Amino acid sequence: MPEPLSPHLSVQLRHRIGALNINVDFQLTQPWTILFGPSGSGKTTILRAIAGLIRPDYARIVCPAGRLTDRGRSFTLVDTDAGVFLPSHKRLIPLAPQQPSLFPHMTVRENLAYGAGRSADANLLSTFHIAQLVDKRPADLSGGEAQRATLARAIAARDCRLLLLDEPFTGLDLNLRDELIANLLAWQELHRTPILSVTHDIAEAFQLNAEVIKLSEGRIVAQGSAAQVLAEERSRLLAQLTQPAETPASPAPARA
Amino acid sequence: MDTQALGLTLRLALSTTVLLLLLALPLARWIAAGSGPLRAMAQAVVALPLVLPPTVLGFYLLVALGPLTAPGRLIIRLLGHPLAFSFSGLLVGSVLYSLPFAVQPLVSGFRAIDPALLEAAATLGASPLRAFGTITLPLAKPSILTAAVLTFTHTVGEFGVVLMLGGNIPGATRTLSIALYDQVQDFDYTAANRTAATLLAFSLLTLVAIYWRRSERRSLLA
Repeated sequence: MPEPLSPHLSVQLRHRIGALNINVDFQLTQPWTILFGPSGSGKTTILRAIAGLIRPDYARIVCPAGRLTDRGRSFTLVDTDAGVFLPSHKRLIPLAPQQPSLFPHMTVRENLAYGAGRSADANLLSTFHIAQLVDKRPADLSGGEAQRATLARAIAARDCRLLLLDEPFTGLDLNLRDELIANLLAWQELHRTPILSVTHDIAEAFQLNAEVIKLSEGRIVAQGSAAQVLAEERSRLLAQLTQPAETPASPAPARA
Repeated sequence: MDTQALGLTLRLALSTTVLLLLLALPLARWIAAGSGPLRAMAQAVVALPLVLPPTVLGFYLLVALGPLTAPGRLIIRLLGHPLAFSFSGLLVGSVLYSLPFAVQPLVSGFRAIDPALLEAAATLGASPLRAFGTITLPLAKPSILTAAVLTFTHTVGEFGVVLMLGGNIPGATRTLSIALYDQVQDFDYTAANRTAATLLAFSLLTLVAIYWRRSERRSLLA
């Protein structure tokens, strides 16, 4: 685990959505942070609040003065008490949603250029295996291809402050996922853009060796390295693998 | 065939279409963007010309644009003549009368656009205006075309509002539908037949074009 760093994003959020009460307070300090939890634990809503796509009941989300801010001043995204709400397009925080959301009337190339303001570089295209798709329309892509292009479009965005990825690797085959993770880590090494991603896949969390924030029912139950936070989950899964005859432990109640 | 009336009709229909689209695009965008009593009210007002006799609309416009009201007197002072019984008055009446035919296709077109696309555009740094221009408008193109064609044809076919508001001034307010009325009043059935046939053929052809385009699109999507 890298040494502690000064935080690049500080999030306090209370928001009620349906029957779920989200109440979280956390800071992002590592290059890559994962929100881990079962579906319905509020992961996506937290991402959407940071991206500015919902108006939270209460929130104070700030980029403290540092590398992500101009001229060493802190930068407030939302502060409901002070009546501050920076609209999404001024936040410079691209969000790659779980459902591919490519613009259907544009080619893949035009989609990638939308937030970048210029053509995507060849490196990015090969990273996501979409170089041969650039002249196609979204309707002609498979689900996996559209997912990769949506990811690439978010990453290509200009002046990105923080990248939000909602289940970026779900549904991709394992070889491709491993390769994408390696490529993304290399990309991050180069660009130094922090990433906050969402997953419920324990293997992914270990593979990224990221800081993990574990959520349950809209609350943070643990924050730390994957090894610390997910040790219990891992041993439970391993126990299931090594003792296949035993019936699996009853899963946590999933919310739709 | 009254070519002056034909020219006037086309000029009125074209001006109405351009003016109305400029008005209806932002209005429809606002209506489609949410819900609430204010938007319901706006939609009801927009839909009124569908259910009101055109003469009612014509009557109120005649009064409102005439010397009896403050806005009417202001217009008279600015233009030097009242809006009623002039081409500009006719234009105002036509725009209001065709409002639902432009706004309703646009509202349903805008509402059919997946909000996730506009959210994606926003997180990629596109201002609402840029997202409207680059995502909403291109995706709503078929609805915009429908709105334009319906407005144009509906204006060509309007009668009651023109009669109330415009009277029957050759070259200024005498449209084809008014000319037809006159021809029948004069028992000139040959001329009336030509005028009526022109209007019928025009309307039928436009509607065929719209429905044909729609079915083409549907078979392309399937």
